[in-house]
Amino acid sequence: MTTLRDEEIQTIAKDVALANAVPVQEVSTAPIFDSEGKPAVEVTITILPEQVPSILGEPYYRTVTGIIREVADKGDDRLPLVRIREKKSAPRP
Amino acid sequence: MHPDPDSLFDQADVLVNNHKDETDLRRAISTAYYGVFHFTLRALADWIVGATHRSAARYVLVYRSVDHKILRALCDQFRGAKRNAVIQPYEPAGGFGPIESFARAVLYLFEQRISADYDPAHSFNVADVSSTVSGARTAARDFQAATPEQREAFLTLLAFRSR
Repeated sequence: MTTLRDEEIQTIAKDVALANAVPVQEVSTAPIFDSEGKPAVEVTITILPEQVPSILGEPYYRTVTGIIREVADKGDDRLPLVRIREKKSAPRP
Repeated sequence: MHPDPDSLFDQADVLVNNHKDETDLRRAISTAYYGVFHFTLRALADWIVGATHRSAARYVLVYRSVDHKILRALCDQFRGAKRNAVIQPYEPAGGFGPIESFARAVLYLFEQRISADYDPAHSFNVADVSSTVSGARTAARDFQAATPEQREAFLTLLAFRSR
C-alpha cells in the first residue's frame, strides 16, 4: 500500500479535472474517514461560480471517477471524496 | 411498483433548485443516490425476472436481495483499472467498459449520501450538490452505454457471491 502525499493527490485531481474540461482554480486535500471508518481523503476542487453550469454532467462525472481510478492505480487505498466549492469573490475595496 | 429512478433524479433537481436551507440540499444528495440505487436494482430484476413481471413476487425477491452494503462492496472492487482475483474471472473479453466508471460513481454517491444523511459536521453547498445530482444521472446513462455482456457480468457479481 502507498500513501500519496497531499501534493501528489492535488496534482492528480488537477490533471484529471482539466482533462475533463473542469476549469480548476484550486485543489486542496484533507484527511477524512469513509463510511466504513477507513482513512479517506477529501479532495476539494474550487471553481469560479459562473463556471458551475459548465461542469455538470460528463465533466464532473469523469473527474470524480477519474480521480478515484488514478489514486487507486497509484496504490493508495484511501478513497478520494471529491467536493466542489465556488471561489469566493474578493471583497470590493 | 418500485421507485422510478428518473423521478428520483427529477426530485433531486427540484430540491436543489428550490432549496430553502441545507436540509433540502442534503435530501437532494440522498435522493440522487437512491435514484442510482433503484436504477441498479431495477436493472438486476429486469434482467433476471423480466421487466414484464415487475409485480410478481419473484421480481420483488430479486429486487430486495441487494442492499446498500452489497452494492458498495462490489463497486469498491472497481476503484482501480486492474481487476482483483474475485472479479477477474467474470470480466468480459473487452473488459467492463463503462461499468467501471459507473461503479466508481456509485461508490462515491454512496459516500456522499452517508455524509448527507448522517454527518452533521459536513456542510453542503449548491455547487457540490448540483454537481453530485448531475453525476448520478450520468452514472445511469453510463451503465446503459455498456454492452449487454458488460452489464450482465456486473449484475451477476451483484446477485451472487463467489466462493
